[in-house]
Amino acid sequence: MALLATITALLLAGLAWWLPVQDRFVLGPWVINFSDSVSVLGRQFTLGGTDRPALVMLYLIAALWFGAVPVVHPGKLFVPLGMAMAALLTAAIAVNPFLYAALFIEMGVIASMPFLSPPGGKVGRGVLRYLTFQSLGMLFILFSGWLLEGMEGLPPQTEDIQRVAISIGLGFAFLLAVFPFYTWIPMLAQESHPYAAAFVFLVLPTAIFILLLGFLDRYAWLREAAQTYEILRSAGVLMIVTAGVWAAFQNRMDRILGYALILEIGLSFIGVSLAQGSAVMTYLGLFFAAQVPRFLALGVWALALAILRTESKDLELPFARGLGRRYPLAAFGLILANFSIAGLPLLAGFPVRIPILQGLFQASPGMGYWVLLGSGGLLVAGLRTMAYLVTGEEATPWQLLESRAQRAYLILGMLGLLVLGILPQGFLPLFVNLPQVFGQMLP
Amino acid sequence: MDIESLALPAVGLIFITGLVLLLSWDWRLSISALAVQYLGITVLVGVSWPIDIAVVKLLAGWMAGAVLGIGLLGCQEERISEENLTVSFILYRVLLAVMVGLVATSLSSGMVRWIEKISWAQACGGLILIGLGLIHLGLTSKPFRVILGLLTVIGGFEIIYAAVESSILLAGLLAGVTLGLALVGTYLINAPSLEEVN
Repeated sequence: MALLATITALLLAGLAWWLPVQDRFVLGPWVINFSDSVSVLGRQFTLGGTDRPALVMLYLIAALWFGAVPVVHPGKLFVPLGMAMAALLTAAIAVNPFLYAALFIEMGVIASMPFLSPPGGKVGRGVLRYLTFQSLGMLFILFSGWLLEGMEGLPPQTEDIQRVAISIGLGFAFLLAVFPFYTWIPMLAQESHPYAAAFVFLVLPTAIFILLLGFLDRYAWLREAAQTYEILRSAGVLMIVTAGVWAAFQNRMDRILGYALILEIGLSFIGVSLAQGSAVMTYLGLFFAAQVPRFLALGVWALALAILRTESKDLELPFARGLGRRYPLAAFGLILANFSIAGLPLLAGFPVRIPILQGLFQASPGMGYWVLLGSGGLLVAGLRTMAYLVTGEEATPWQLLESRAQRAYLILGMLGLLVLGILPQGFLPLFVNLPQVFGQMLP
Repeated sequence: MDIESLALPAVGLIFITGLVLLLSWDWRLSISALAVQYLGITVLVGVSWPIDIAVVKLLAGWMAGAVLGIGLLGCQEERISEENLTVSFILYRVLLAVMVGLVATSLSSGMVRWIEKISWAQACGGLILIGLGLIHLGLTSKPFRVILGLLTVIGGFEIIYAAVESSILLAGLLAGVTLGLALVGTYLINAPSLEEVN
């Protein structure tokens, strides 16, 4: 099933890349017309040329993620429901008016529940909190849409702006797990299979950020208000600092993965907050480019955790003592992914962090130092993990217990983390034109 | 009979069913209360929408109740019910519900001034359900109860949103979310006893 899903996702990514839009395709005597829109109950679903990069990225991620399923066994429900989730997120990108995307994202969340809480296991609080927060976020976003429609064409009153700001703010705070609504992320990372949880951690925030950028693109007063960007930046810094500090004191390897994701969401907030005026193309490009190292790092990290989980069901650090001597590749991959998200030089996360940090230091040096502190916290978490994984009884021999397929995936992932870190010019230019999707934001 | 004349009784009905959901320890009673609650929601949505479209809420709600009910048949009681229903526990919840009712009543007039298309009964009914649903969510960690809380909050939101938005697609999508939540609730209640498919 995983192979079929991988091929299907690759095929869909290929079609999204190649298929002509608003054009006709002649195949012998047949002429096939390709329209970019379909009407459902009076509303349009449009996948235009500008949506192509997001679609290609979504299905490539899905294909590569499903490809490693046979070596990590995240459960039989993961592949079919993961595909359903990808399809619902595609609908979220396509639906017009874009506010309805919140409903498709909610449906995607519902589709993800069975693979996050697989049959035979206890239903944890994190899964329930995830469902609750995403549902509440959807309601706030829908309500914000109505408020914003009412303000169109009218001079915005201060009271209206406050109401909309509170509604949008709460909506995205719930959806994107902004402090203090992020408790479900480490809980979910602990309760669910790391590979399934990491898939959700990867695709869901990306889709929600595209919705957030849609808001900024659509409503001029929102993107022209300086407070919008200050709030985004402050939220991002707060997330990075708290996640980094909690990660440094965390005793579970799976929960550290959750904190790393919070740190990544915080970094995305900062990237979006810096995308103003003439810097829109640069920082939005970096926001999109950051998805690649995040994908690689989360992939390798989740894969390594899934392998280590087969040996030690409890991923608490004291129980994992010496595990790296039996699974050196998994341990090394985990540490490398951790360091990449912490922003260590020569790793994939570094080239996208540097310009964002530079921009942040120019805008607010104080915040820049706080972000460094947060990243330092994650680095400490990585060093602690490394210490536990490699130190064991001296008599324990070094072994290589990963299967061949696991080794192959881990080595490929780690090579990717290193190559992207050393040669960032190989992938950064691919994202230069992506911000043009949000044409209104451009100067 | 004009549906608007039923709006105020519907608010009362919604408050009572919300309270029953908050206090009920028997899942059959909870499902019944949910079904009656959707009747009240449909009446209040019907104030703004044509009744043939408003009935979608009733159908979706009843189907959600049926799905949850079927899922709960034969399920172990401890996975559904709250433990230790003491007098103080009941009193605490009743007091919370009364407070929600009072807050909703006092906020409704302001909401009517702000949202011109909404009636007082719709605002009050919607706010009562949202408040009771949030309390429900805050007091439980059982999947069945969480789903009931979410359905209550979404039901309240649907009443208020119906006054300002009448898209058929939106009605369909929200009905889809209601059914999806019921399905996932049924799954989560039964997940621990299902065979592992790994």
